[in-house]
Amino acid sequence: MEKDEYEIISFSAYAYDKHFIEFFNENKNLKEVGKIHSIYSRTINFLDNKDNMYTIGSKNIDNSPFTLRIDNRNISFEDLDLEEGNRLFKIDNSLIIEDKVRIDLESNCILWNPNVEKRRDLNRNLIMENIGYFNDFILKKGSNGGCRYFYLENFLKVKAYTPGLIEKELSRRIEVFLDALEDGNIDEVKINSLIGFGIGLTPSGDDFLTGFLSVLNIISTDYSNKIKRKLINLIDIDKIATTDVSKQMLSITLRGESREYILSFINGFLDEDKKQFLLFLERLLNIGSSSGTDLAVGVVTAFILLTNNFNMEE
Amino acid sequence: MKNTIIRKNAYYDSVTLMSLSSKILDVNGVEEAVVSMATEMNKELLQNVGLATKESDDAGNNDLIIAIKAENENSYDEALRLVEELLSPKNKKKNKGELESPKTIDSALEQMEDANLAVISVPGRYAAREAKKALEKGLHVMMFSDNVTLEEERELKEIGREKGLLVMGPDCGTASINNVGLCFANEVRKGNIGIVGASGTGLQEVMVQIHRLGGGVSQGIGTGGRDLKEEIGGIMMIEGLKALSRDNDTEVIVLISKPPAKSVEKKILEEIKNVDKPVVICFIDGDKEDEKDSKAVFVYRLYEAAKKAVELSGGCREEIEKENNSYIDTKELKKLLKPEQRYFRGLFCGGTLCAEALSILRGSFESVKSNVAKNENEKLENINDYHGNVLLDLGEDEFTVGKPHPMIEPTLRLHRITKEAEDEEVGIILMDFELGYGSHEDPVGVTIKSIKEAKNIANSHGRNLIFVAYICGTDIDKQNYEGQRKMLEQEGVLIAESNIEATNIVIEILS
Repeated sequence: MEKDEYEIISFSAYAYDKHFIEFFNENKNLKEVGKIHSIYSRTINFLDNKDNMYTIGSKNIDNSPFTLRIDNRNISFEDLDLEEGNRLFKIDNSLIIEDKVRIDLESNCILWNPNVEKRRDLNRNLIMENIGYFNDFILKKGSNGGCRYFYLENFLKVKAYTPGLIEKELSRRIEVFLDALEDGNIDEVKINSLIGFGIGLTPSGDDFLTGFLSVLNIISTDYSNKIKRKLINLIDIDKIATTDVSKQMLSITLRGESREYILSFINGFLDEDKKQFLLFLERLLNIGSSSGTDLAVGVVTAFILLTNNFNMEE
Repeated sequence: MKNTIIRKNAYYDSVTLMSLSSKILDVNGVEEAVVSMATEMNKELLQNVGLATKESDDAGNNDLIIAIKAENENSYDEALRLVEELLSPKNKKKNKGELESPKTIDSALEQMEDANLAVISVPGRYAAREAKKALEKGLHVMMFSDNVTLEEERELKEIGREKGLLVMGPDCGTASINNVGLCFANEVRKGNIGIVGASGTGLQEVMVQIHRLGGGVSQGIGTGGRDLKEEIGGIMMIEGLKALSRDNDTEVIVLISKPPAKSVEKKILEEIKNVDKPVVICFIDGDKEDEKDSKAVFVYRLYEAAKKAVELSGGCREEIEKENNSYIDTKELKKLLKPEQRYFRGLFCGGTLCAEALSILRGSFESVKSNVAKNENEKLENINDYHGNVLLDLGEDEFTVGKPHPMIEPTLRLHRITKEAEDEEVGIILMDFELGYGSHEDPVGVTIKSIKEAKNIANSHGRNLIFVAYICGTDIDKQNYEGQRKMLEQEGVLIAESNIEATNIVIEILS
């Protein structure tokens, strides 16, 4: 981080994804390219002129669709004197936020372009084994306040603590959602009862669904494809009522994309390296305050559903 | 009455929201509280539980709702005050001309040119770099951060040694430098006893007991728990020892640790030969063989370390003679328990106090399991599913990920207290409460309701449940020691004067 003679704080871009390249290309000849939507400690979000949301984050967040990471781990965007509504400009090879922050798009930036390989052959025993590791882990770690209570209560039959009102209700709603999926009578109401439900900027129900759908984006079996089709048809992203940031997260997932830590955790589930699996799990759990736990519970619940319905593949 | 507070486009992380929610619910007279983003689904929940208001109905997806239902206006106002107190400071914008909190070591030094110590509390992966910067600027360092590699710790301590600077930590929770408490520390009398400790609550317990015995503390230097490992070589214990031997205000030196690596111990004992002040060594679980050929005084319990140090410091024998004058009739207490209530459960916030309790209790019971045990046969396999005699350090990572340490936020322990009460084989619950800088402002106050509830649970099954507690604090700690003690006494909790005494009460009743 450097301050130049005009007191603009300068950063170098470290990594971004294909959506950011599209954004740069589309805005080649435009000077004002967007406005700040929200500011948090490690990220800021901005809306482009078509109201698409993009994220600029510090280096210590993971890669994600529509996200640019700057080459600085310690930055707190909240301390940069930025305000909602501040304008973004693209001038030459830099993104500039008012006269406060400049991000130089260096030519040696990393392009994050994950190869999301569809996985068709599932090793049920391996998945079961990894679910076992996850169970041991979630008993000891993970954040309360969201889906952890549901998982402990329903799958592990453990009452580890007294849940809050929202945790209890969330648990009931997830149960209804899963029962409906199993019984084949899932509908818009049962999915929408999860969306926007829970504490946090990305409500826990949204995180759960994001984790759950991310598995269906990668696993491609008859059963997974069937339930994925149903769910995608039932979620109308333009109508859902949740926070803007969470809407963006769900919208990305419905497009078939996911952030880096979710992808690596799902892939870790399908590979035999236990050490890697636990590392990926730990990284996922560290997202946000309770979001990581909620995402992980969504992922594992999807795997449990798939393994319970393994015979349907035969 | 019920009301909702709406904060437009406001966001707080969910740990803050959960903590706020639990604090509001703890206010007397508050019946229900929900803190969440104002999404349709969350608003629907408010409607279902009767907390919705026109304001909450009108709030948008990106707004924060705080909904409170209270018995009366006073309770509501108290809850509101808490909300303001807990949420306002974070987003408070500085007025022009007001001093900004420094964001870097350089800017901190610009604001305080004569500073000579930096406390580093940043995520582990950045901590070593920041500590190095501080050392380069000539500052002593206290690293509260953990997750620093052994290699980094060694390098930092070597730099410190070369520059004549202390590197306390990583994972150092307690220090008292020139009687200024850093991180978690008790307020104690200034005196002539200097301590170097590789354990947080161990250092606190010795300082507290010195104060209670009428002695005083010159310096309390923390080293971090790994300093006496082979890889680090006890660099800071030795440097701390040297510093105290040069310090004019220090006349007696106390060293506290779990047993060090043999090679490290040898180096420390060698260094003690060069010190012309009395040295008391307390290696919890240490080997008595080590006493041979050393001029240091060896003890194996924290209280003993304090007592010996006060004796050697030449003062306040009168106070020492007053010790242990409390009498608890354990035979009578034993009669209160049913024959099947033969187990105890220790719910500790302080790790070293838990380790010391294990060290004492193992000799009196066939089996004691703990999550701090080093011996394979004593290790607790599952922290949520166990039976028999169990000691839990609730400050361990497995309990605190995503949550504050129980010394800061003791609510983490509350559900455990009531859970243990449901076990018909449990006769005693053993607990510690830490007072002082950094600790919760009212640790007993937030726990007392759960103690009552636990007793009611046991009574409803025709049982009694005995609580034994130790308050690690002094009469000058900010939390009001006497007030904390009184609350426990009123609930019939047995209060010990030291961790060792609390543990011995358990032995007398159950063994």
